[in-house]
Amino acid sequence: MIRLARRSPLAGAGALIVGLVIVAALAAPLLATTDPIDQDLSEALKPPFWQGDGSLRHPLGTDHLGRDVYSRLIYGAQISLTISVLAAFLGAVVGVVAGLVAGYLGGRVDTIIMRLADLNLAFPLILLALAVVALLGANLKNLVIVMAITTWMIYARVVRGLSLGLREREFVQAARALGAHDVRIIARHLLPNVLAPVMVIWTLEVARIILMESALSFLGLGVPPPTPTWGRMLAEGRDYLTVAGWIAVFPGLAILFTVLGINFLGDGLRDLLDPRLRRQT
Amino acid sequence: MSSENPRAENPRAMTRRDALRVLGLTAAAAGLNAGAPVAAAPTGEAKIGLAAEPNTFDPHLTVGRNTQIFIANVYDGLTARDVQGNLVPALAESWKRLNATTWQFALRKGVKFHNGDDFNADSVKFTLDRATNPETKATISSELSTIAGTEVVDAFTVNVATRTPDFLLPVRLGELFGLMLSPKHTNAAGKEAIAVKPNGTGPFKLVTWAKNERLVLEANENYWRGAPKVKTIVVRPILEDAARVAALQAGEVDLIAPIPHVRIAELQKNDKLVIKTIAAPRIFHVTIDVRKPPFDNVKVRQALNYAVDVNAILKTLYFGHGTRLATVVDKGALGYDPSVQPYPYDPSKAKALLAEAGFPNGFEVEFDSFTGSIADHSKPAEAIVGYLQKVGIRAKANVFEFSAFGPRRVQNKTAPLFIYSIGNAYLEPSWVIRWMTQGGLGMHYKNAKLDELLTRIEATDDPKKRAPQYSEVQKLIKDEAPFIFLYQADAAFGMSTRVDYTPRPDETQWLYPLGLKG
Amino acid sequence: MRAYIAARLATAVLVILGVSIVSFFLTFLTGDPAEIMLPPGATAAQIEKFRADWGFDDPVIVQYWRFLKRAVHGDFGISLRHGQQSLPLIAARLPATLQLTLTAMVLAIALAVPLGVLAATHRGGPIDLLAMGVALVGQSVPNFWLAIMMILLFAVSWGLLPTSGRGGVAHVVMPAAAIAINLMALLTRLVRSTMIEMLSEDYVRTARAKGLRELFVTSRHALPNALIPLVTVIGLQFGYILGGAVVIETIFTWPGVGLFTIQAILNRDYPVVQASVFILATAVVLINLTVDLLYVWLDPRIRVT
Repeated sequence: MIRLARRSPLAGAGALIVGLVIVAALAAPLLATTDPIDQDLSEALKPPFWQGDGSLRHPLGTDHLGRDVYSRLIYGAQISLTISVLAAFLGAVVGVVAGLVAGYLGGRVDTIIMRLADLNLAFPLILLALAVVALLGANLKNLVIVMAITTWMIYARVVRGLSLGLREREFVQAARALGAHDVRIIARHLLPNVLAPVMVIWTLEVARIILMESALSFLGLGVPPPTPTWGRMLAEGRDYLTVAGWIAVFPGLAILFTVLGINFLGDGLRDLLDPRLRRQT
Repeated sequence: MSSENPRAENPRAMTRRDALRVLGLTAAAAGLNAGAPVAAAPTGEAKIGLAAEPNTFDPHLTVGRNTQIFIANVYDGLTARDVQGNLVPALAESWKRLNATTWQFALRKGVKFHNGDDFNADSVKFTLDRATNPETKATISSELSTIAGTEVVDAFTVNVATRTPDFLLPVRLGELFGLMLSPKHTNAAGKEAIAVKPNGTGPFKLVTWAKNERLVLEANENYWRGAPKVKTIVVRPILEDAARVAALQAGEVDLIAPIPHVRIAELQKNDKLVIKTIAAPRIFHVTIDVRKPPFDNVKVRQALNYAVDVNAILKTLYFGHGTRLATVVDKGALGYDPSVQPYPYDPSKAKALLAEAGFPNGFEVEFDSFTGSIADHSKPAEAIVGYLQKVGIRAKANVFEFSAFGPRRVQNKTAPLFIYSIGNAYLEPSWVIRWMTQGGLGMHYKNAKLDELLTRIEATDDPKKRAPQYSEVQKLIKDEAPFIFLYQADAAFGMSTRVDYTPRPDETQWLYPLGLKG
Repeated sequence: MRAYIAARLATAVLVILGVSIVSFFLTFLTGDPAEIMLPPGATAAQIEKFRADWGFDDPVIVQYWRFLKRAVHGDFGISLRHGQQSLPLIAARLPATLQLTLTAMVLAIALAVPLGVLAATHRGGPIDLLAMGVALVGQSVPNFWLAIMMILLFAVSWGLLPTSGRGGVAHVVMPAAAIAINLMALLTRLVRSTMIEMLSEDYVRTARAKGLRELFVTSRHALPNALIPLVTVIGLQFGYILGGAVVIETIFTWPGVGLFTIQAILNRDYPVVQASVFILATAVVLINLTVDLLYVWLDPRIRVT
């Protein structure tokens, strides 16, 4: 870990931030001060402790139903992170495999995979989210699947493009000439060369998915209440921006902080994993 | 409520209307505009920001209250409502019931459509026939399903026959579902054209309409009530609350509706703005499925009512801009009885009642609510679920998107508890209660005594005699507690100081009296 | 090449058809609009009758077939909500959406490319850090929150810009910026990372070793290849932009296709949803085809299969 930080301070900083968020997510029951869904209407819209009639009992204030913002924020870490990481990971695995296969094998396989990607891309996300929510119910599992479906195509297309180019490269030609199997070539020669851009894309995607979850909540299609996710808190806080801005500001900052950390980590890892750069150092 | 037909009392009496008509004829003899009282020419332009725009200007294909309350500016019905909510004449000067299933309307003479066509009995017959014709596939057909047929008696008299006695017909044929079309124009123009190029008798003409962008109304100078005060009204749909309020604050629009309750206090402090609120006749309630135990036990239902602190909900979610309702009769409706007191908030009493009913440790139940639709139901639902959980009723909230919730109601697959609201556009409690006891759409409460009371009320023509009969109805419903009784919220309008506008209690956005000062 | 284009167009038609079928079934399966079209006082019996009158209770396949037969003639049906032909309704909203999304894309690219190139060529230095900082913040901000903040600041507090609605430059600035900010951040990072890759490529190192000036090197040799992933991602992002445009169009009541479509989806207005999905799918598919063709033009080493 320390070696990682020394090789790339960026990755180190990122790992630290992400680590903090993960700890918060895992230790939520210990860190939170109240039950995140406990309402108390007489305590509604109380400001954070440094303003007005705020108190340390609710250090970051309360929302429109009197629920503690700080506790919801901590539990929100758990849920928002889980959804986003799972969805991004699922999408990445599917997308990278699809892209490698399409780019390397070409021909009919390439056409089918790319057309499927086109179909998926051309499909309005909102309709998909609506349908899944209406048919299968709005729960975490379904939301993960919906968001994974919106992300695999990016990997597929980019990786395919790169594969098309890599396929013609000397070291690949050489491996084929030596009689290596397709799978071995893909895994050994193509995959490492696409990992760097995939890493960058993955970090972007986790960030995008966290934001997408908030957009879906904004449209009323996200995780159902009273579950606290950062996106939901943002959507709920939207009606109160001019009167009780803290309800939206803190989850917004949490998203910013977390996404920043993920990106630092991704960038740092990219620097470390790039084989060409490794050759250079 | 005003008497609907002065002639019934004394056929020879010179009514105010007669006097006005004489004046009108005299004015005509003097070469002025016949039928329309003399008024100053309309001037000025008002800009309005609304949360939604109408879906169509075809009165038979309207969807949603937002459309009905707006297109009443371009069309007229046989009756209308005044600013207190009383039913008054419009295109019909008077009406009376000939027998149990026939109403007769005496129509106003000298009224013209915007394109010059005459309004007469043929217009009424054409319009009602079109509305009830299955080929039209009218979305309002359900509200006019009591109509059996329309008969032209003479050029300005029609008889409308109903299948069963319908005491609400004059209200139906008013601004709600009786907006009148011109036969000649409608046949010539066709269905698609009417949706965007209406031809009505109303105070305004629709000049341009770019959907989701702007809608321009222009005064009808020959309007039979007299020309409106303002010449042009530009309507901008501004969907986002924050943007709408911002438009008013920035002076981009002169009037907006609605204002979210959370912003009212802040805007009231602004000297350049005037904020007016009015109790909207939308009755919020939680329907209890009385067929499913333990809700068949009245003690459990009453316990639910004691468990929820409705006043706290009004204070925190609506910032006090609402009225606690003891039953499902709203404040502006005929016969509202303020002496029937709402259930007080008493969680210990709720627990005691639950114990008496055999549930000292509460029970589990599902609670449906939804997002979208004309008003916010999911926030109050969350609050209610919280209160129920505090007395041991472990309610699990299901939230649906509004269009997905509809089919659940139709198929009677709703949870034993679900929140809903109904706009009492008829301002008549019997209409609401009949709907709530229909035995479908998730509402299964039935009570023979209640039916009997309602039938007697519906057979009473005189509103003054109907009103007191509703007291017993409200007492019965309260004791039976087939719902968790909630509230009606206020509708808030914001306007600049140069606008003179008073909202109506039945939600209609009646722009005719809107005036501009300076 | 011609054969390739022809084949791609043929599959494009299949894709569009596929999207149409899937969206029809999905919209249908989430419930028909009968209950929300009728006034609240309607009884269950009246709702059933309405469904029968409008043909909503026929099997899905029958309804789709009815739709398809007319759609091939360009008739996507009369909107259930607006009473007008649905394809022209959507088409009339296109100019507004194009105005918004193209402005946003131009804004994003115009900021991202120079920023990304600068960051790549001054890698590790303060310029790089600043550029990355801007990019990171840009992609972490929820755009709807940013939009409302912008309205509150620029329109209400300072009175500089109009609060909402469509119009010229003053009206399009805030919504376009709200859409562009996420995209700009993404593109900046992508340009930077691919530029870094390219700069360490053999042929670029050769060019530098030949002593050509730094600037010449970057623009002549590195940039065109750096554009490949950029072009890909922009093409891909078109679909996302339209999605993001939905939220922004709602906040600013920008009368575009996105806003109109989401209203139609929530209202179960099938004909409009179908018309909109058709137009969007066609646009995305054509853009992807253009992207693929640009690949070949930019990197002659790629063979077209």
